[in-house]
Amino acid sequence: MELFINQVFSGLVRSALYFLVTSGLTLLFGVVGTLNMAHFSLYMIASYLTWTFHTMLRGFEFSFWSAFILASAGMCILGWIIERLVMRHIYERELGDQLLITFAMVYILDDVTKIIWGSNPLFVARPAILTGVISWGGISLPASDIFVLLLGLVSGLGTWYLLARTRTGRILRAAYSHKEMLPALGIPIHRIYTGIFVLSVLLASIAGSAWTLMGMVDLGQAHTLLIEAFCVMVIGGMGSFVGTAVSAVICGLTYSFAILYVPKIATLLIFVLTGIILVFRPWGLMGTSGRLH
Amino acid sequence: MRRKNILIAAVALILLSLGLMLEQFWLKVATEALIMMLLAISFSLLYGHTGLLSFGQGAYFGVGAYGFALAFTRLHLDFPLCLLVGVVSAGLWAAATGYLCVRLAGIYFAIMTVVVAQSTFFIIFQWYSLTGGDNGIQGLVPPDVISGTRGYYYFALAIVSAAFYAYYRLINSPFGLSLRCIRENMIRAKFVGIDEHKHRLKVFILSGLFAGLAGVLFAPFTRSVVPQMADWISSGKAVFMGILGGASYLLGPLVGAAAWVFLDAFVSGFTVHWPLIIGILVFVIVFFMPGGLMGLVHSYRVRAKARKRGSSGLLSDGTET
Repeated sequence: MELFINQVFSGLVRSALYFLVTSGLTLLFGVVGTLNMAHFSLYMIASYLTWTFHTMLRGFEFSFWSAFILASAGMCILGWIIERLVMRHIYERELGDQLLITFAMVYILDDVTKIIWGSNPLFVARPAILTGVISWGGISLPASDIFVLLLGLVSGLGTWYLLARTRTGRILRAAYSHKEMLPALGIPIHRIYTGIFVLSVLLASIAGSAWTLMGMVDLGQAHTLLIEAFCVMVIGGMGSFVGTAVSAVICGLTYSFAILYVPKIATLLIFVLTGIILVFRPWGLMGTSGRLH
Repeated sequence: MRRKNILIAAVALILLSLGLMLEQFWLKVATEALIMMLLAISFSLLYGHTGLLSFGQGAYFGVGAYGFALAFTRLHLDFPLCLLVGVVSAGLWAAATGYLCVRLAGIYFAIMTVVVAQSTFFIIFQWYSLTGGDNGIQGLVPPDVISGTRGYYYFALAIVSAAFYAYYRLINSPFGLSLRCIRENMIRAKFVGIDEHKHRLKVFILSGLFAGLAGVLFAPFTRSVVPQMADWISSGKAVFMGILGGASYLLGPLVGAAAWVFLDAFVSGFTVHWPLIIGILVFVIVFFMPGGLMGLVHSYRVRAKARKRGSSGLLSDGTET
């Protein structure tokens, strides 16, 4: 029983990571209709930035937390620059061009990362408060994992609240469904697109900073998460925020139990799961079939 | 028609004499360019002719290479038979994964192919007992006749020419026409009775065969295979070569692959930051020359023709296959 609870817990932590990585992608696709292939590279750069700020602030008591905040701020600025320079010129282009440009960005960002930080894996020391283990009954959970889980929950609920319950959220949803109407009402749609892109990068950045608590920072981290993150996105239904959350939990739990029994093919199992779901629901669990073409 | 024949003869003569003229290093580059043309063709068949953007051609490139390598080192089959095993295994893998991919359209299709490529990489990487994992497989030496650089160049030239002829016949066949019909207007294609699902699966398998053939030729060329041949960055190579040349033109993939490989060899001489350069290059192509290199040639020819006729050229913008 304890093993079971532990597996469920670590699955949920994994889900939180999946959700953080994928939600920005989903958000951007849902509102703007553009898929950003370079999203995972931005997630990786956020990890590196966290490492850099953490190293710079060594000795300072709150070095990790400051690094977390500084990395988020830095990534928002980077996201804003990318939006102004590249993304805003491709929103209106056809799908092929969008994927090509963002895929070219993967090459550029990965290479620039290599130039700046080199190819050796880097480690970020956990802050003292997250090094311990929290025991409750017979179950003991690492504090850093609990933090990642909370981070996923808070970011998810926050973004959901923004989308579903605020005026900004209504405008954002309208930006997808009534694209022509918004400017007519005097709402600057370009500013909305910039905002949503920066928000998506911020979510990737939070994921990147969270990852530094879970493993090492290296050039391959984006590529190893790629299959799972895309599967989460497709299973949930592209552009469906709630669907992404649901499928993140499904994939996270699948992964954590698969890693226990068939460790070698845990990632593949998620791929197979995606295949099965797509045969029955080609538009994902909560996507709409209208978005298929 | 006569002019076309003369042109073909001239190109053939140049390609044949290159084998005698080039020095060792550039001959190797030329051989790689020939092999990569097949990979670019495999991408163009899907994107240029059917409108399916695949980021997963690396998967079949890798499976072809590994099929060859395993048949060669484990089963000790004859060299030609090993080639066949490689191509067939790529085709089978394309059929299995394609069945899943072609059910989807647009962006879903693109994502699914990325997932397939990464998964293929993952299988090869993890299946240590069969594939040697990260170490890859070495010692894939072709038979003596073609083991030299020059011999292998002519061998690749022969096979690639034959494959290119097959590609040429394919896209000019009724099947090729219906593929372009699917690309242009899926609904109308269905109206006139084209089974678009079956057509897309067929072209997916065919393009898998082309990518597999490229992999099969590439393995004995480098004498080794590594799992990275199958991942999505390898697939990106196919995408970029196809785009660089112009995916919807007959000669596009050939020009694109040649330009890519020679540029790579040239640039690698003074910097290791090839990915950065290629990334910027793609930006330039997509924003400033959407038809790729062949698109430039095409628009130049259209303009020249218009000048001859004395019109402005605005109305005579013909479209090519």
